[in-house]
Amino acid sequence: MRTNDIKRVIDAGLANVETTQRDVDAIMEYIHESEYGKYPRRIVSARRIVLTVICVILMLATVAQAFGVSMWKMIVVWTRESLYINMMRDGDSDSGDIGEKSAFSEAEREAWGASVCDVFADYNFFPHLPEWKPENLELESLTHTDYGYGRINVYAYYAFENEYLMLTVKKLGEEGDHAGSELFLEGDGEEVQMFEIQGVNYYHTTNLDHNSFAWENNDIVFTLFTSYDVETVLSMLESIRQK
Amino acid sequence: VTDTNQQMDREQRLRSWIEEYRTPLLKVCIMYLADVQQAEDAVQETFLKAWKSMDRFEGRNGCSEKTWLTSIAINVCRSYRRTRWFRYVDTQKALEKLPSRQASIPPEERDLFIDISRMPEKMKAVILLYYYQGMTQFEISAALGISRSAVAHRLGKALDMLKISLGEEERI
Repeated sequence: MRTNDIKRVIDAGLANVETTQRDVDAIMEYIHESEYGKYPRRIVSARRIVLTVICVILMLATVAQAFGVSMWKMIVVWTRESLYINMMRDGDSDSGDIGEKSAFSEAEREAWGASVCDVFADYNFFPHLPEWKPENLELESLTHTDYGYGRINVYAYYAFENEYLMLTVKKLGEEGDHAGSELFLEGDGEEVQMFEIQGVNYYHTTNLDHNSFAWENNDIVFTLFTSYDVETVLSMLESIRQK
Repeated sequence: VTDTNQQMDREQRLRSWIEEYRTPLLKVCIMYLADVQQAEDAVQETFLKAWKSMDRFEGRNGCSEKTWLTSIAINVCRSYRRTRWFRYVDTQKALEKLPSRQASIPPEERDLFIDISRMPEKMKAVILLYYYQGMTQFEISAALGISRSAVAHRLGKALDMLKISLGEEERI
C-alpha cells in the first residue's frame, strides 16, 4: 500500500456517508435556532450537563468580573500530556500599561525583521518581543488576521537549515468572545515547567522534537514553537524589555 | 433591505458550504472520533462556528474555505476527545457500527482503514489533514498549533506505524 491509497481507502470504507437535502436543512435549522431562538432538542448526555454547569459558572464569573469583581485573569492547568491556558482580557495587567509602547526598539526590528514589525505597526500593535533571536533564521511565512473588536493574530515562521522557530502573537479583543482566549498545547509526557523572568511567567512543554513556550503579557498571548533548546529560548525571553 | 439581503447572502453561502463540505468533513470526524453520532454533532458544531465567524474568514490570507472548515472541524473533534468520556471508547466496537461498505472492500484495504481509525490521535490528525483533506504542512501546523517540523515528524511516524510507503514523487 502507498500513501496515494489513503484517501481512496477512507472514501471506500465510508462510501455510504453522504449528505442529503434533509441533512443540509437540519444543520441550517440548528444554526438558525441557535442564533435566533432556542437550540433544537438534542440528546443531553452527562457530558453536556457537566459542561453546561461549568459554562454557567464561568459565565457568572465573567459577568462578575465585568462588574469589577476580580474573579480571574488567567487559568493555567497542566498535566503530563497537555498545557491548558484560559485567559480573559482585563486591561489592567500586572506587568505594564498596554498603551505605554508605541514603537518597536531598533533591537526588536533587527531581531524579527522589518516586514514582521511593519505588520504589527499597521495594526498599531506593539507587543514586547525578544530583542534577540538566534542568528541566520530567515522569515519563511508570515500570516496575520484581524478578527475585529481589537482581536489580532500574527504568525511568523523562521527557519535555517534544520532549525526553526514559529512565533504566534494573539492580542485579545475588547469585548465578548474576543476578550478571551484558550490555548491548548499538547505535550509528550514531560513535566510542564514554569520560568519567571522579570515578573512574567513562561510555561514550557516539550513535544517530540520541539520546545513550546507560552506566556501572557499586557493582554497579549504569545506562543513559541522551536527546535532550539530551552537555554537558547530562555536567553531570548530574557532579552524582552518589559518597560 | 440591505441588511436582509446581506443576511440572505450569508445564509446562501453557508448552505453551499454545507452541501459541498459536509460529507468530507463528516468522514474526517468519523475517522477521528470513531463515533458516527458524535461525528455528526462535531460537523454541526463546525458549521455553527463557521457561521458565527464567517466575516472573519474574509481576513484570512490565502486560506481556502475547505482548509478553514477542516481546521475548525479537527479542533472541534480534539475538543470532544479531551473529555474523559471519550477516552474509553472501544474503537473496534465503534467501527463495527460505522455506515461503511467495509465488507465489500479488499481485506488489505479494510486493514488499512481500521489501522488509520485506531491510530493515536496525534498521528491520525495529521494523516487525515494531509492525505485525506490535502492540507499543506504549514496549514496543518497552524490548525493544530504545532510546528511544521512536528507535522513532518508525525507524518513520518504515522506512515511507519501504518507500514505504508510514500507515493511516487512525494516528499514529506
